Amino acid sequence: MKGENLLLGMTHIDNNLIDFAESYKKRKRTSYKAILSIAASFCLIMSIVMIFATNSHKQKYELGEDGKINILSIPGAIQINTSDKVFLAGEGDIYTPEDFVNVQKSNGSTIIYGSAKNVKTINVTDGDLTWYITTFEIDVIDAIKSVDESSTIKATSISCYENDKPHFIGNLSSNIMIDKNTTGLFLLKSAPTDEYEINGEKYSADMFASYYVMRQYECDGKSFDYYGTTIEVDKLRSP
Amino acid sequence: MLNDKQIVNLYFERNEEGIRQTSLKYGFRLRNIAKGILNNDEEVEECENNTYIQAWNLIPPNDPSDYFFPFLAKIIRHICLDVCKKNRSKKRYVQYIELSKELEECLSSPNDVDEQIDYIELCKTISNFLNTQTDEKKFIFLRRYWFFDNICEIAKKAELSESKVKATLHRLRNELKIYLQKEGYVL
Repeated sequence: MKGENLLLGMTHIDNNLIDFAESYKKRKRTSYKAILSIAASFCLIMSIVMIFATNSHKQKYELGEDGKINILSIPGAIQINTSDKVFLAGEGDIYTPEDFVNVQKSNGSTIIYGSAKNVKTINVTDGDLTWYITTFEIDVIDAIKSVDESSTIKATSISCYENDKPHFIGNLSSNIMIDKNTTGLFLLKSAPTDEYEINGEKYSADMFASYYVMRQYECDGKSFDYYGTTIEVDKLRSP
Repeated sequence: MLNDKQIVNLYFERNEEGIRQTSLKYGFRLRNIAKGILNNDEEVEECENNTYIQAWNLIPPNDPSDYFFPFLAKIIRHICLDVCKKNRSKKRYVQYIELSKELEECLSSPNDVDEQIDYIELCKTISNFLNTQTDEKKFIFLRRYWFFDNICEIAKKAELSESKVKATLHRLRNELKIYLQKEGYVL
């Protein structure tokens, strides 16, 4: 039988092969299972670290029930009186009374005759910069444009000073006087999402409130003074 | 423990201490080869003793000091296979036949031309074939057809699954058949 003879004949195989087969030790291959386990563990650890870091980041300030930041919890925040230098009195664009009326009627602003409450103001020092952030609520007395009359809205203002001089980071400015008169005519717009970096943390106006206060006018509910011209509130109402 | 050269010198000096030293150094490994083929302690011991006697008779004139273990391993394998062939009724003979049949797959001629084959030359060709294979494949083939290991044992030693070992052996037999044909063994 050929196979049998071949089996017998194989006795004469190369000496090196016999030594090899006697002393062969399988070289340890890289275990893909082990690599996968290590990779999975690494991902898990990284995920935990990321979650921790993210949570740590979020926990740097408190969020209120409305999901907005409680400005008093901002790191480095110092609560101050609203009568202190808080609100930037920038004039912005000045129109003729007629143009002002036309612009306000046609743009996306919100106009309220109302009364401010729960005013909170802080300052945060960041190097040469000092940030002033104010949040307050406005009880709507007369919904003149783009707001529900029965509502109370939350508004904010942000100002920045550098060495006691106004610093127009983000081109936002507010000219409000709730420290003198809480009731008045408020010009508001949707709070912008532009980010400002304060002590390494990024904030935007919409993180504090839904509305950004552009201007407050002294008003008796019927008319207000615009650079010496009396404008009827009714002229600003939405059509 | 003496080195191979020193042990072989004892054979040349016709010093029986050579056999004792051989047994001391290689007895265990030789018995393992015999066990793989016979699996019977009495027969294994007898084959081991016969191996030493045959080595005693072969040295001199042979000087296997550079390949002493393979020299002894070949002797004990040959003796064990002779025993296996003689005891055809025993269980181990079944494996012997099984392996013979597996190897026969590598040879495609009818049995009647068998006597014309120079099996020593053929083994050189098989050695060359094995030397072209990876260590793992080489190991599997040799453990199966030289050391008579069963599939389970090979799988354990090679840290592979039994199915992988079987598949490797099947492929190797096919490759060997083609190799032998290319080398002129149209058997």
